[in-house]
Amino acid sequence: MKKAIKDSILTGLVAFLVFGPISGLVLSGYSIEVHAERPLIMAVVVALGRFVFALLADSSHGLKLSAAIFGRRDGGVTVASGEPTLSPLLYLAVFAAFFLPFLLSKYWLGVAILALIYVLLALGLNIVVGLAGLLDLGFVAFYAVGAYGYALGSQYFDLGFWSAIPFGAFLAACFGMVLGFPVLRMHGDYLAIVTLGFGEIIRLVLNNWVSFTGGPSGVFVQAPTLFGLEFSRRAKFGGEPFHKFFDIAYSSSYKTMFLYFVLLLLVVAITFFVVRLRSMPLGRAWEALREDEVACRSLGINHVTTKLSAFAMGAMVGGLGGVFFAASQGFVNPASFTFFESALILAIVVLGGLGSTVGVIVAAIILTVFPELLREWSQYRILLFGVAMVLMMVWRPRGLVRPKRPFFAIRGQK
Amino acid sequence: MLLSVENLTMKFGGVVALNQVGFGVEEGSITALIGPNGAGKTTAFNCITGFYKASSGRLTFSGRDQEPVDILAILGENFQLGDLLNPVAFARRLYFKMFGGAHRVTRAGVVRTFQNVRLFKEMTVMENLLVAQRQQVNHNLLAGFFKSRAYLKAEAEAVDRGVKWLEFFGILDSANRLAGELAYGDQRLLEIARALCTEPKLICLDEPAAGLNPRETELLNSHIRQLRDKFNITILLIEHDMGLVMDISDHVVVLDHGEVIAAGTPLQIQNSAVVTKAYLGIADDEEEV
Amino acid sequence: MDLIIVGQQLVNGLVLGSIYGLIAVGYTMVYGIIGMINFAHGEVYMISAYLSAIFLAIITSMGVVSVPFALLLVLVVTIFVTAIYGWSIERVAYRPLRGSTRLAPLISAIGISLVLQNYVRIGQGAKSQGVPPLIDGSFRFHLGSPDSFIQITMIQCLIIVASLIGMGALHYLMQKTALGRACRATQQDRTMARLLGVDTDKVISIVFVLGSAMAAIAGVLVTLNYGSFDFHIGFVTGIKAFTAAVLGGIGSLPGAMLGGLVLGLSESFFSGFINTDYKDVFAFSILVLVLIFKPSGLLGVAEVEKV
Repeated sequence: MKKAIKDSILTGLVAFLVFGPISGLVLSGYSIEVHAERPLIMAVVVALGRFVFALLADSSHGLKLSAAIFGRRDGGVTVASGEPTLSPLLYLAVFAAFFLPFLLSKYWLGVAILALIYVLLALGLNIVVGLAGLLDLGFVAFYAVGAYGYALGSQYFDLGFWSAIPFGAFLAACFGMVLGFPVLRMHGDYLAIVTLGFGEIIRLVLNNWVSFTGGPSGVFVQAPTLFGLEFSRRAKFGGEPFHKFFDIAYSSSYKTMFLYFVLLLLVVAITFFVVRLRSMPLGRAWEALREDEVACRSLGINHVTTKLSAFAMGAMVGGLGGVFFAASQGFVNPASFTFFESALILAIVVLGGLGSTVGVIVAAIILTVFPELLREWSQYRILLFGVAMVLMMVWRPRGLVRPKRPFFAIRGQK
Repeated sequence: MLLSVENLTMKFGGVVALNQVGFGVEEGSITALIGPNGAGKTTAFNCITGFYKASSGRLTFSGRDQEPVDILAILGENFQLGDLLNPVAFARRLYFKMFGGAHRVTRAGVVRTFQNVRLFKEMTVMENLLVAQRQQVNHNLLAGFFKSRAYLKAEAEAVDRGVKWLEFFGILDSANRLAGELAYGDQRLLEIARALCTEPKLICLDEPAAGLNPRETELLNSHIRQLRDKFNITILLIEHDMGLVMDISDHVVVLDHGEVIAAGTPLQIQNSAVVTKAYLGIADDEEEV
Repeated sequence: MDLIIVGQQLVNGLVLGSIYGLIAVGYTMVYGIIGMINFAHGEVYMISAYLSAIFLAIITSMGVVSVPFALLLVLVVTIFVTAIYGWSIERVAYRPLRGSTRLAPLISAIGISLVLQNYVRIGQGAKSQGVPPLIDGSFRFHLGSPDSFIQITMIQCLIIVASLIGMGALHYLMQKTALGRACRATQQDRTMARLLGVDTDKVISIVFVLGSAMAAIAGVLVTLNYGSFDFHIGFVTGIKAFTAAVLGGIGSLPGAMLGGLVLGLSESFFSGFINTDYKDVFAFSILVLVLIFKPSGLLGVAEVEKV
């Protein structure tokens, strides 16, 4: 008890020293505004927290309680007890998602599209980080390649939306391969920093190569069409406007709805694909590589090409996200592709649980929709993401949902 | 000879770990590599299985279709000046430099296990075995996505092959458990089973009996024999358990200070003065043989 | 004419390089001892820049007139508080992760750097902050005509001198003291060091404290030199300092300094003679190329993969 008090007072003191200057002494010009109450409150909260933890650790009841709350630290991998089944809830969610556009306002539909784009990005990064165990901190580069592939393609080669989808995906995958090949031989942490470097290089080049990319002011994107039907009020590219063809009143939300449906179909297809991949030889090889690279090599798995395939596939999905981002914004500029974006996608993947497809999708939706609901909290958003990332690593590095391994039926056994 | 090692030399910086090592492994034999700690046994293993690139020497393995495989070449050698004039050799070296490595050695038919068991601990036993069957399963992504008939058949066969080896080692009941949950002895067996799933001609076992109790060692002994007799797999092993070595090997190679000091039948080795000296460290340690 | 530019870029490069070197030390020491990239280190440097401005404002408002005394005071207090930051980060975000998966500390580090960046943004505002110019005066080396000269400001001299002293002190600490021996032992073999009675947890904490202290020196000097900073500065400078650490051979202290100088000089020559817009691209390209072709850097030792 005495030790607990001493510890918490010490912790509080350190917290006060740490929080004091930055939040208590605010620079204003060359002088200081004092807000001593802020660090004091924070220090007291930290000290109390420390005290509670010390008490918990002190008594056997406390230990039991904390074990009940925090559970096993390793997250505990379990084996499924039979053939994998998708929960009916999931089917219901997908089914409901198809009716969303008829219920939501145009603004919220825009948010939904953004959420789906983040689902794509998170699925892509999850292949690289979650399954193959390669920390890619420059994932935004592939997002940018997809988006700029569409934007520049439409500017220079009159590339339409439908051809931009495969083109953007292909371009991003190629970038992934070219960047990945020399890089994937190096181990672990270096990979993270090199991909970070690549991400920044791509953004800086987009920013500085004004004659080609338009620099910081960005590029406009040709609007998407459906079988040659345009979604604008008047046809700009010689086609027919959508509302005229179907003889309905013009609404600017048709384009958003159209994008939403295409995106939703794509997300469903890719989710399905990723789920299947996990039980396919390639997916198994990725996970094995994450577990033990040396053992994989001893079993005839080429670690470089296997990693490369994960890298390229992740990049491809990221590129698709980029194409849809460009289509929904109608405009791209380098400011959308900063390191922060990479960190955000990584936060989504980490919070959803590395490797868990459903978890990552849920996290992507929550992390894009909630900030819209809590506008007044927006300045704390990234701070909270950071805190959550640390907490997740300390508390549940495997994610909130227990990872499940597939079950194999063996003949002659039940 | 299934595998012949000639003048194998391995240097780390200035340290010579292996010096002009030469020995052969006869097809269908059990060959043991023994020697005191630090003699270079595991280094030799790492060179043979491609985890280290030997500094010089020649490793020839008679591959699946009896065609000789130059192990050093498929690891990716450094370019040489002559390659500039010979585009074919250049392309070959470039190819192996890009795509070569230890996995090629395994695909050629040499597989290994590790001294400190290396399993995919958070995957199930069966998944461990499936990962090893890289060459036998269907890799077509579309086939896998749509679960084509050929894909499903290949997967089912792979599971059956896994079952076969699990049955052989008597750990079939654990097929759907996590590899990391198995008892230590079973983990060792699983690692061997996993290696066997690559359908090797030669399996290199790095101290397979380490940490096993006498009964488990006895079992392992009979398993190894059966691998040779029933499945026609050649075995090269490093082992400290002299009882096991002398009992099952056809041929023994003794390494000391990175050099081969003796080779022969177990009986010859047991009676060799040089070997006794190397193990017991009686004077004249530096004597060349 | 050209000689003037060369000379001036040399001076700028040395100054820049000293800064990179000071920050690189933190990366290299932490990597050496626990084998992780302390991603938040750049943000620690950013925080130290804020701290130095805050303490400077306090000290001048208390009526300290003597500039050298005020600066010394600011330096000491900034180093102290920044060191506490380094210590707390290790304690909160990295220590609980010993023995966890390989990815965990890296992700945690990214989390911490997001936290630090946004904590400062919320606490101090997003706009850039500054300090008044305190030291002026410069040396000019004339070459021929009175219009052509190479200029070294007093602050630039101070930066070079201070970083030399800082590095020297650190080198002495690591090589000649019992503490340094414990650090080096832990770096070589943590398990063995623990068996021999070295409190490795404490050693790791000390390494974080020392690294942060060096970053704090850099933070104070940069604040004095440029006069303004914002909450973004940690990111790019952090990566560049890491580049310096890799270039010099990660894990090696002299390597960090050397890498810093090489990077600072080449960046300064690149922006002076080739293109200013692409100087960051240039620095990042160096990082990528070094990691691909010579990951052991200039002074590092190549790792042998353990099988």
